[in-house]
Amino acid sequence: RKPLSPVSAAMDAASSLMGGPSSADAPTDGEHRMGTTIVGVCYAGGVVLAADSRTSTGMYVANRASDKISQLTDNVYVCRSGSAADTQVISDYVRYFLHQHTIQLGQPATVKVASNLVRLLAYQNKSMLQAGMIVGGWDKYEGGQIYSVPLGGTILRQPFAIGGSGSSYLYGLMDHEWKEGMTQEEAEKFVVKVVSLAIARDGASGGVVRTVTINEEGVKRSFHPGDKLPLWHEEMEPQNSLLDILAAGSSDAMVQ
Amino acid sequence: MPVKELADRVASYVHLCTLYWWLRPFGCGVILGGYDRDGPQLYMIEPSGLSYKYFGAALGKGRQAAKTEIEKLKLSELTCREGIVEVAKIIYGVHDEAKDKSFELELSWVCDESNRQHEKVPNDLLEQAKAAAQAALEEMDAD
Repeated sequence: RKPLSPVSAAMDAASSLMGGPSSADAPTDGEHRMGTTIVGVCYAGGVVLAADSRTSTGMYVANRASDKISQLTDNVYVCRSGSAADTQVISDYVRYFLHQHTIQLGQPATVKVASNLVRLLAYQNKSMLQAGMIVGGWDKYEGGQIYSVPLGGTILRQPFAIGGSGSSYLYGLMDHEWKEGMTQEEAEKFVVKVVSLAIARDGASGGVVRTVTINEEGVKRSFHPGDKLPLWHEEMEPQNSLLDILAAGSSDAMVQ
Repeated sequence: MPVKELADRVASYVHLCTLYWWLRPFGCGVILGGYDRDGPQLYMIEPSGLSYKYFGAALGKGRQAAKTEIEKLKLSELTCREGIVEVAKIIYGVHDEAKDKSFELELSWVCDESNRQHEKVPNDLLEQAKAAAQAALEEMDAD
């Protein structure tokens, strides 16, 4: 892929002048992508959005604590996956449009309208964009809603949605474990469990799990650090340093 | 299309026709009734482009008298079926036999009974309303 970030463009120019390394040798020059796992679920009374926090440029993790859940209005948030730049620009435009729409309407925008604006931008610019997004929020007419806007710019309302490269590993789990009408606590625990599986299996997902819970009362942002996530098969307990274990003189140090 | 939005758009267009010397203003007002997810709503747009949401509205030659009659009604407690009769009474009431031409009453409504669609009031209810209105008129004349 052609690198597009300013740093890599400069490096590219420099390297081509000096006949330097080709992009195959420098897998840190890629466009910023959010490999990502994003999830949105409806529960009884609202929605929970969740995402990992890894932004990669090629093999390098450019940001290990990024926030992929962006605010569109007081009551609507969007999970972003795909090209970091594309999804940021889309979010910015939709936030701007929704701001004006709210002023003219005289009341908070609905989740449907917000999702539709995202969809229009995604569909009408489909040849130029790589953005997979999940829009979630709460409004007084329909309550909690989740809308999926994947790559081509389709829009689909769903009780739960998954996206990003890590979502491949979640289809089976969701089909098996998803329940209609969970409580807020159940839903929050569920999304953390689900995203942590994707982080475990997907190299392009990692870091922390960020969640945003939206309901009639308002919005709650939460943060689940990497070492507090539920473990899956063959995963080790998180540890600071193996040297500490050796120093402690435990004879089981090398046994897993 | 929410009713509020429709009223705003119509009002903007009517107002537009008051802005330029080469455009003639509209010579009519509009009373707009609709039913959307915020419930039933009534808007009135005047030739000046002024637009408000109303609980009761009247336009035309007898509008002052009609408004007075409307203000006597307890709108919050009025059902649609009762409303038909009241409205008919008002139309017949403000009609001046001497000065005005004869008229034909037409009624339409939007309510739960009409499935939230704008329809002509069913014939039997229309006739009932007309009869009640005429009866009320005769009572007034008799005084």
